[in-house]
Amino acid sequence: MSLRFHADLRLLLKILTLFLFIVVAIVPLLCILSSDFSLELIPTFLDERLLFIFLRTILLGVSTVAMSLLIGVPLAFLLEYTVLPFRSFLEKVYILPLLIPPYISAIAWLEFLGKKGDITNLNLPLDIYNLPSAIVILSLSFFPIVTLLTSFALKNIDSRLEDAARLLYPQKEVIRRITLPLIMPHIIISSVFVFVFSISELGVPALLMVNVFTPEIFAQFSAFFDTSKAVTLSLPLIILIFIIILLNRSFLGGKSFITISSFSKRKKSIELSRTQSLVALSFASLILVLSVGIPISVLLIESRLQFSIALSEAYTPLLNTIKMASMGATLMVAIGFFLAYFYRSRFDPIILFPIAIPSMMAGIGLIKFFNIEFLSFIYNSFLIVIVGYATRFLPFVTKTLHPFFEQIHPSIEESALLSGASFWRILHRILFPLMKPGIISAWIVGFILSVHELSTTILVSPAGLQTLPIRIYSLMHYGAPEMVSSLSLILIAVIIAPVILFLLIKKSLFRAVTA
Amino acid sequence: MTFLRIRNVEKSFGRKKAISELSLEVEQNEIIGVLGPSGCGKTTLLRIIAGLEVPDRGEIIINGSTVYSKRTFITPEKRNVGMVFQDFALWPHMTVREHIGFVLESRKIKKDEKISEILRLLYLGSLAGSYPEQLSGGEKQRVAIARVLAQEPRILLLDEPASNLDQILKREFKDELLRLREVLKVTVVYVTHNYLELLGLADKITVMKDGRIIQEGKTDEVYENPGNGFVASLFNK
Ligand SMILES: Nc1ncnc2c1ncn2[C@@H]1O[C@H](COP(=O)(O)OP(=O)(O)OP(=O)(O)O)[C@@H](O)[C@H]1O
Ligand SMILES: [Mg+2]
Repeated sequence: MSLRFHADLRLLLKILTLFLFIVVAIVPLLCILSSDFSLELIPTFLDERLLFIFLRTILLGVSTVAMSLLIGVPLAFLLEYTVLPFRSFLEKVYILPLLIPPYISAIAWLEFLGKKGDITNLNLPLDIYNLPSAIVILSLSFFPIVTLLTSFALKNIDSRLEDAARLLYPQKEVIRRITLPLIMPHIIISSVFVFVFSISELGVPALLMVNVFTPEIFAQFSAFFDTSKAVTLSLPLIILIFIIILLNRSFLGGKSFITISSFSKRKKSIELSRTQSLVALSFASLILVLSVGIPISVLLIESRLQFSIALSEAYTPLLNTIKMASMGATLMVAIGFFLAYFYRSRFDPIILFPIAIPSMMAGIGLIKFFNIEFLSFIYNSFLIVIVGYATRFLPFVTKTLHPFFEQIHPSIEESALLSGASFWRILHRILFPLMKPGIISAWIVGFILSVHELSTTILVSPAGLQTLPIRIYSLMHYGAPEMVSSLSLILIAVIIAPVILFLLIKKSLFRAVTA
Repeated sequence: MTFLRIRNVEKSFGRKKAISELSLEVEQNEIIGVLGPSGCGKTTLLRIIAGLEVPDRGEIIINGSTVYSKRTFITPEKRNVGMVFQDFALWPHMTVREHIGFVLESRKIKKDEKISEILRLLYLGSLAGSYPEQLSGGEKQRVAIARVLAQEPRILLLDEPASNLDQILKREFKDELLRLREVLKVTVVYVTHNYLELLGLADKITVMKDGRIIQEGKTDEVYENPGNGFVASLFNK
């Protein structure tokens, strides 16, 4: 009888998880195909204007990837392989640029170099309203993604693989021929993230007046033109990204070379000469000054610390943002938890599929799917925004949970099963407590991504519902630097707060679990 | 002739002393067994000999040339020391053939025939195109040995090379090693915590505890007359 119930609950949850995942993440994306794509639109590829926008978009994405790799990979090697001065400090702060939304950096750089007349403006004879500026700003925001994944791979590489080659070749050759190939899957997947994030970005190109797909689709959509041409054009791109994700996975039977185990992880400590240290340190500092130092300082000065006025002005959007991002993160963790648990990495290509979809496409898909009578309770309320967060970010939350599940030994669960514990009991007494650090980390990832979100939200949010990013974005067009800067800083604070909280409780959290 | 000479070598990791005041001499073409419990510093000793770890003090001389002293440090790739790692450490992104090619290339040797010859020597011909994850434990070990043979090292360091093999494979490995010693005239340092692997193989045994050598001598002598209770316990006595 109890066994029966156990099986039922398990099965029910398994099916429910799959159902929710499909509804939230897959169907809306398939809807893009069903309604907007048609073969008759193939000649669109000959439309010169659109074609240029398309090529510019690819140029933006590829260049941002290249620059992020140029910054992110060397930084990861410096942090993991050398005895760089201030290494442990740098290890903690290099992630900060990722917490500042790129459109906020763009706002700061515009005040600094662009819009003449702002207090902090240097009045340099510089034009930053162009594609290269957009690439630089996006790279300075996204390089930590590369560093994060590369560092993770370098940290977890089995160092004996390098040692075996070190007996034959000098260090440089070992890095080129062993280390780099081993971490290549991580570098590729981080490139995919950076590519999709950069072509998904609405704020930066719009503010810098660079006409790429995202602002173009947004403009067409807002003006009630149809978006089908743009959709048709971007489909090959989506397919290409998806193929890259698939190939990257199936490379060597879908197995990563990097396995998380405590075995043979020696902290490498290649000595640097004085000059090398100096160069490396200047490089790291320069990147941090450009990506965090200057934007934050400019915003602080421009804001004239008018936080209370800004707060009263944008109280509702702020509350909306916190509320919806929290709910979004919770929804994603709930689905992601069971997705990771029931399906482990088996469905990875499908779970990762939404990553390939740029934000505007996701928005269009959501509207196509939910804009029907039966689902209008979602479409006409804040629920559509929350679903939108999940559509875009569920893969990230699920992938954050994966390694935590892998560390739970199956025997713990099996022995509980054998002792006759019900599934509910196993969840409640074993999985939830053991997974607490994973759940909290994943929630924070979901929350941060959701608070950032601008381009999908701005498409799908029902009339009258504003988030803080949307508020900031629209204020930008009226030019109110104090207000915009203050709100930007508040937004950054909202993003950073849970991270700080997490760092504070991290020690006790992980101790409680490992004890 | 003394081929490998280690004098008063010390190595600490932070406050933890992994090797203290260790001296050891190995004759040319000799197989020496290093026996000791987990964490006693066996792997660290091998890594120091190979140059993968820099000692804090002491002296290491291989074939008459100093590879480490206060003033000298010869980098690993210039020492021509071969090593078979615990769990073999095969490169997951290379096929068996590529493993051998990678090693030969470091010696600037024209490859194709030489590769085939080595593969044949270790019965790996049919596996030339396989990746490590497609191999069984015994096959992996043969690849690890093929890799080190391609290097034609002066010294062969073996770190628990047989601990993941079943009894039959362990036997075969022993025979294989004795044969290779005759063919290649190589000097071998064989690390293990299982004395059975050393009987009938090693000429000498060195017993380690907490980073020090506590007994050394001919294999039979050490086996017959363990110096104290600790050594006896390593031989299950
Ligand atoms: N890179 C390192 N950093 C810190 N401590 C280390 C490092 N390498 C080894 N140690 C420590 O030095 C001691 C000796 O380690 P070593 O790996 O040489 O032991 P071992 O005899 O090979 O053990 P096992 O039989 O388990 O392989 C251990 O206490 C180990 O924790
Ligand atoms: Mg060892």
